[in-house]
Amino acid sequence: MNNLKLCDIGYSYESKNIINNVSLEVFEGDWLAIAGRNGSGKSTLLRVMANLIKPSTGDIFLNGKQFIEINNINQKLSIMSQRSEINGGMRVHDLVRLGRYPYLSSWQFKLSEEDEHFVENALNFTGLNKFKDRCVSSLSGGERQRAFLALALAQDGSILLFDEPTNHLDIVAQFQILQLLKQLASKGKTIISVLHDLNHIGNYCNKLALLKDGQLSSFGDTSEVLTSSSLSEAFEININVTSHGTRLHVHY
Amino acid sequence: MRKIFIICSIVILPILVLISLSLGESGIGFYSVFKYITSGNISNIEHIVINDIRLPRSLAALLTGGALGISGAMLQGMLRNPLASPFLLGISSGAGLFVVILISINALAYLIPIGAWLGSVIAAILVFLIAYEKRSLRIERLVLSGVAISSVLGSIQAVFLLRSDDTRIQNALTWLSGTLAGRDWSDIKFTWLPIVLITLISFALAKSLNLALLDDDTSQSLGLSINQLRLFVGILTTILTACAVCISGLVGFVGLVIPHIVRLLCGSDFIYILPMSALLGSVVVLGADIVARCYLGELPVGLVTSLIGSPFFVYILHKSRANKLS
Repeated sequence: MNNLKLCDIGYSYESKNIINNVSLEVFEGDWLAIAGRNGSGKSTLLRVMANLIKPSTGDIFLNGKQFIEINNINQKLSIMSQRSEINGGMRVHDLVRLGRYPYLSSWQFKLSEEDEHFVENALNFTGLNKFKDRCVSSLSGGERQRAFLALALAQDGSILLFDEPTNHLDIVAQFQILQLLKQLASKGKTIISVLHDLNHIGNYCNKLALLKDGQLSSFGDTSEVLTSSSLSEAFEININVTSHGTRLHVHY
Repeated sequence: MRKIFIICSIVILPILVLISLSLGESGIGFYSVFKYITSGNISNIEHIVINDIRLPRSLAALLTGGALGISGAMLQGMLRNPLASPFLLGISSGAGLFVVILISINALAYLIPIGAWLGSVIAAILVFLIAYEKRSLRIERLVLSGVAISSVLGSIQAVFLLRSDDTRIQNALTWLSGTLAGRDWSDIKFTWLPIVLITLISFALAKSLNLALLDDDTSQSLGLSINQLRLFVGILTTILTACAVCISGLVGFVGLVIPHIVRLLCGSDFIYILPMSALLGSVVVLGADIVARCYLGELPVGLVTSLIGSPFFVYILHKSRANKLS
């Protein structure tokens, strides 16, 4: 069973502590949301979890092994950055193909049939097959996000990390992305995402980590953490949470 | 489109080499070249003209074009900047300054290519040292330090030019415009091997350059070490360009525009862009040199590449936009 475990993670930059003593654990099929005020260290924590930056203190374990002990770490973790972009007029199909590069040997320049199969599946899953010959720069914001989601899917990591995946999208595109992530979690992928919309977190994520000044102010099941007191403490404003059946609604 | 372009380039290159070997003031034509290739049974004068004058000059053109074409393609990919060219890293101003100094002090002719090579490398090292910060090479810092170094070295170069006499100014300007006039085997003796080897090594970077088109986080999560790539591409393009400058001076246009033409005709995959930029660069410089040598009274080849190439590029750009709109 896939799991990602953080033990006392800290990260400092230019002698300033960005993250302090963060410990948490997520499992296969979990969707963990990371929330908090701007500058609370959410994106930095996500980048540490994606192995893009090394923690200053503490250890991270993927399936019981430290990152440094895992040879093919790029086949296990995929990240969709807040600033995901591609230059050079690349087509959607070629962009998604890049997701298979971690599987190619040094002198292999062409994808195998199996790799192409993964690419086709990723394009189909995100509904981009009809756009695959279009230039990425000609896509709408929502389509672009789906193209980068397809790239992450083609990489076939067991842990998928997303930094504000619904940023700048209209409500339809937000809904499409969130539904796709929900499907992925139900298929056993572990989703970790920085999200600002607390109602989205209540509706889609089963785990929630609230960060305040680089420290974990609360972590656990969303139903237990998404409460008026935890949110008010993390965001330092009055926030009310009401429940309508199984759905939680956040007002502020 | 891609296949037609690749086939055309591959077919045109040997034809241009044959034309380059067959054309010239001496009247030694295609029949002598044919005999030189097949049996080698030609007169002494024919042998000297073909083997010692036209062949090394043609090879110099191919090496210069190939080196500048592939350097431009790698830099535009690595810097994610369509305006990047091999001369962006201060290479042209470094080479230019050293050559102008050498010409103004009336140094021996054989020192000029060596000075150009040294000037290129020293300027590029300065640019990289300024751009290097906190164990990383940021694109903006690299481009800006290139502009700053070019500006400083260009100013010093202008001072030396202004204080030189007319003949020396003309010599320096011819070299600064890029010329292949009078190139012989000694001009490519030490540069052909690094250019060929680095070109072959560069092909292995195609996948990394494809990933470098992505933002830093995504490319790193796919296994790319972006700082290593930037440093490696910086070193390779500096050596390639310094070798090209050493052979022919500052041939403009090729490193900037050839990769664009290749991208328009071949797509965005560096597996095609790198070899085709080298190939098309060679074709363009050799073609321009034939025109410069035979029809324009030894005009510097760098001027011909710009004069003929730029309108052609505008035409390709217009055509590709028209195709997209339709």
